[in-house]
Amino acid sequence: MVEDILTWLCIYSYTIASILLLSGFIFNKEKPLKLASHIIVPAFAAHSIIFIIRWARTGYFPANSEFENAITGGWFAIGLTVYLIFRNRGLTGVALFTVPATLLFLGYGVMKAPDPLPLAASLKSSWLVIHVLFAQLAFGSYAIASGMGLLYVLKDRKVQQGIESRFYERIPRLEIIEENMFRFVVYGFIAEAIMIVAGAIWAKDLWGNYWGWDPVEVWSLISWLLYGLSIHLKVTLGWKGRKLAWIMIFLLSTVIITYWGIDIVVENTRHIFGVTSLDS
Amino acid sequence: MFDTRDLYELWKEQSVINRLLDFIGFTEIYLSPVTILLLVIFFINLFVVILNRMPVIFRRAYLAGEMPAFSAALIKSGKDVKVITAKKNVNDLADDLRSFFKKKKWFFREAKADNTYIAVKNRYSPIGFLFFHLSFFLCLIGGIMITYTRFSGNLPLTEGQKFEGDMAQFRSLSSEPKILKRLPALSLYLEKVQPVYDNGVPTELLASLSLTFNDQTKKEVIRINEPVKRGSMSIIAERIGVSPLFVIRGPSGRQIDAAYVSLNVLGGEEDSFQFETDKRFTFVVRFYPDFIRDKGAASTKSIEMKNPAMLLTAGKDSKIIYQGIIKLGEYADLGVYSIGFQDVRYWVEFLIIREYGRIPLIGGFIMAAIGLIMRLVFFQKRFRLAIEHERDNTLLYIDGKSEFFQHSFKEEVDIIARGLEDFMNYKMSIRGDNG
Repeated sequence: MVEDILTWLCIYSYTIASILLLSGFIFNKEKPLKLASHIIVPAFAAHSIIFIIRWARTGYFPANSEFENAITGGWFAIGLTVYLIFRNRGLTGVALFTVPATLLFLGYGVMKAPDPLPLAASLKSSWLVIHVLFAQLAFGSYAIASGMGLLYVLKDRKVQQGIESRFYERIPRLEIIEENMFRFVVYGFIAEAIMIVAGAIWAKDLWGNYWGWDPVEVWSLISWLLYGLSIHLKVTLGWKGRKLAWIMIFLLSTVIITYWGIDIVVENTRHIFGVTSLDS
Repeated sequence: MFDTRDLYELWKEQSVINRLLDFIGFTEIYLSPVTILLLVIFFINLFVVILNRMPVIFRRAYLAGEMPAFSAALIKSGKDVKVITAKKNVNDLADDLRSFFKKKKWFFREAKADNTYIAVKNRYSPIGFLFFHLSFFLCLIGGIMITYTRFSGNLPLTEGQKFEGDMAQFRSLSSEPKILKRLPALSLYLEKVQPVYDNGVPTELLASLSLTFNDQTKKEVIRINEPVKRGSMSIIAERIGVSPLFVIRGPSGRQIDAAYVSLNVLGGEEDSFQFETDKRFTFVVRFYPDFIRDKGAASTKSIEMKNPAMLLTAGKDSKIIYQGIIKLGEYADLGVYSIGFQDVRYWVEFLIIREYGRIPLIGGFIMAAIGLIMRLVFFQKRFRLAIEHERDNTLLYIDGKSEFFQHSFKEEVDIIARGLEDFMNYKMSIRGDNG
């Protein structure tokens, strides 16, 4: 009951925050952004309570259904957003990406199966926590990096147009945004590497091989390699600016495909949640 | 895509694409000549890159080569240079710098020119590049060892059934070793299978067995996610099914055949079988572990084995001669013969694996993770410092450079410069040094 109320509270809060953020950026007004941050912070507190309640209620790390994955993944994305809001108010705009993304995943999770399911035998492993924790940390970090990318592109456009705007002046300098974007890509990249390694070791005990060319495995590798390539582009080839920001915005799609897309489109993936037969 | 395996085999035989894929070795992707060529090119390239970068890495970690050469004039010309004025001599200031950076656990050395110094945080960070890229070679070694030594086969065993090395018992062999073909002696006796369900979800599978490996027998319980391991061998419980005991009676009512038949029907699928004694008969089974009638139709209340029954369809010479529900202990009348469902046991399909290469592979994983963290989290930060004496004052010039995040590092440079100033003033106060 409490969980349901808090879930809907989160959904409504994130909806209002998304509208405010969007309005702020469309009309170049700072007030809606400020209001949004006042909504996001308590909504994150409610989100954290849902996360804790679900974990305490089921006795396992929340990663057993689309809903639980949305709760966990969203928790990291919003948690990192809140951290940035407290660290530098000027970066509130990052939420323009993370809040609507979390809202969509939460909505999808609620539609699919919000009630807790018994943990299937295949998921009963201590590797679940390590694998999923790093997977969601990677998602949260990449989501923030994409948010930074979006912020960069928006601010850069104003700078290029030579438009002076108080709204955009409050947003940190382009170099600072770019540096933060890269910082979160690096964190995500390391977390995703650990996620892949933990998954491979777990897969050996569960399915008998470290790597099975399952669609989810292949896409996680594609995503990791592409993020690795983006790091090389910056560090080795010195790519920067708008080009790199666009790359970071689009690269998040590879993570979304890996975590959520495959399960929707492909039926025969080994990474199915809510298993109903020991066969899998 | 294909309804039966035969149709797939037929397609495989006739398909031009398949013949082409076979010809270039793409049907065995890991060992295909194209894959091997790509891997060889990739690893040669990686090796050359590592060799090429090695001197640079050692130089950047201050393990080889000379200390950097720079002058006070060069630092002074920098954009973000910090200047600290101290009323002390050059040697005292150098001592203060040494103590300050030592206290902060930074690497501190004199640079090539007089009165110039370098202070480095995370000195060994560039080695992370080597760790990360060398880890690929460890993974390659592990991967090759696994590919060439891996044996894996699916062995179905019904409760009460033994395996004593008869390879014919394997349902399929998914991988056969190219080298080290001799497998260790292994015997299994499956004693009991216990699936655990919670609200229709299988939450546990316990397969109790007696395992003999290298003449040592031990009781073991295999669970999902908890395989039994013996040296390079591991036994994983992969699938579960039911084996009903079918008894065939002749016209006189005398038993003429009986067998536990392993069927793949637990997920609601249909499966079929024949008896060796009379192959004119074919039996198709749909299984209900917890049989109920739902609005007249046969159904199962759960997947727990509470009230087992089956829908049996018997065919003779392609004509259906019987179709009906038979529960545990009942017989179906087929005319001359009758067939009974007398018992039911579980079967488990074990995946038996023997492979070498785990240690280099896991070592590679760990090394890659360490390399990434060293390189990207504990990246190098460097100060160049130069002392110059000017009239009554000694001037310290500082310039800082970080491998990544240069803009954020500027804040750190400010903090460290302030800290250094405080430290020097403190040192001066305890020395009673007033210039």
